[in-house]
Amino acid sequence: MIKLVSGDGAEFEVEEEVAFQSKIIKDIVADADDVIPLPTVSSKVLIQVIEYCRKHAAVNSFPLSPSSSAAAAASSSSSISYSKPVSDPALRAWDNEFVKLNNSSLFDIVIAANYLDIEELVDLVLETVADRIKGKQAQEIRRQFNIENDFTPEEEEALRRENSWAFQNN
Amino acid sequence: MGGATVGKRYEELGLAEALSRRHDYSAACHELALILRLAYAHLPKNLQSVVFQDTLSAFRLLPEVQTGYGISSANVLLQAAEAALPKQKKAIAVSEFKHAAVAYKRRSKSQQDEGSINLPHDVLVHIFSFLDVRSLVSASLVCWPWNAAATDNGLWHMLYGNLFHCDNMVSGEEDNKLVHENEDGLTGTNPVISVYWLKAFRRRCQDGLSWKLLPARVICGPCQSMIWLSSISCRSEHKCLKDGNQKLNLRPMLPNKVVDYLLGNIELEASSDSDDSDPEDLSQLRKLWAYPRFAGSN
Repeated sequence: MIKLVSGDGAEFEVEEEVAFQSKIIKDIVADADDVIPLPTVSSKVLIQVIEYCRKHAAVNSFPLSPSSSAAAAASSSSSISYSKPVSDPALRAWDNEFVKLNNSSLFDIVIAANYLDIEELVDLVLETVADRIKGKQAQEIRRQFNIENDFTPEEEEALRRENSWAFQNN
Repeated sequence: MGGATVGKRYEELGLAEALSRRHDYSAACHELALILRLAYAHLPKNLQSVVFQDTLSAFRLLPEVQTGYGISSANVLLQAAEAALPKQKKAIAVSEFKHAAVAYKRRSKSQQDEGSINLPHDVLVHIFSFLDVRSLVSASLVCWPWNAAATDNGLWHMLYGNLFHCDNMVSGEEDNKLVHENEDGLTGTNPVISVYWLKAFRRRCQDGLSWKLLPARVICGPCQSMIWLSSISCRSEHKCLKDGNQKLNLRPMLPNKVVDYLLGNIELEASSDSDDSDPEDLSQLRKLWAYPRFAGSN
């Protein structure tokens, strides 16, 4: 068992295969001890991340890691290498439920997942964010993510004209 | 043409599924509207009722969609339904639309996601790698930090490759024209040729005759399948490219072509509408110019 300690001091005991969904934790455990402080991760977020890792550890068990890393190495010929999407439909459905959260919760998870280097979770959350952008106009995206428009009217007009090719038939 | 094959072709269009995807909703509504106007009267009875049901479900899905594109294209569909459907069905469609419009307004008031966060540049680029062309352009119009991430050269390079195919990192001559525009300020010591892929893309859509209106669907030459353009991002390439098919050949499929296909007037084969592809467009242009040159050389 491995003990994870959140930023607010809560302790979570998890099995190795669950914790090892995070590459960082795997590395730390390899050359240190079994109590791992995660000062930047709050317990609320850590609970969610552990829930995800537990589910994925149970489904993936062990077969994936060697073959998938080989595949990743093979496909990383281009400058950016991407992990493969989850193929198991039941797991995919579980993932879809998991990400039914508001934007700020999603961003909290992605920051933790990034820090813990859980590639699949990073991809899952960021693809969800992307889905909330897809098919929307700039103004709708701003509202969705509460983003301030920092273009001057002139700048915005110029950009709009420059990019009109993408919108002509709408 | 037998009823079964029209039905099959309609199924192939995948409109029902497209309507349920928010980002394809608008394009699917436009196609459905065109089908109602141009093809409905010629369809067999059973297919007419399928088209009618899809129209109703388009209206039912409107509240879920919550985009400006969505509401305007639902209006286009409503007008088509009013023009094409028989009395009774028309009444049902209109009342379905009215319900949907009310629900749409109610929901747009309640929907306000709280909290914002400044995402770092690399996270934004990562998010944007999941976006299709049009959504990526929209993202670039949100604010300066998003603009910087959404115009990332690597993203546009991959998108360009996934749509137009380029076997080389520095591709054909036509793209090299773009290269020189940006060499001014930076005095690099090595003469590495850099391509600005967003510019390459823009040119392709502004100058190429058939890509001029960024289409909702494309046809893949080799496998003759219809693909929604929204399904192609940096992350998801078309399977022909994945299979290492020597030459990717995606051609736009405009909504009127979709109707023609449904009615069996055209085939998806490469030959039947190859006159639409960019190289052919260019050669047609060349043909226009070739005549005087040819005459002159004689």
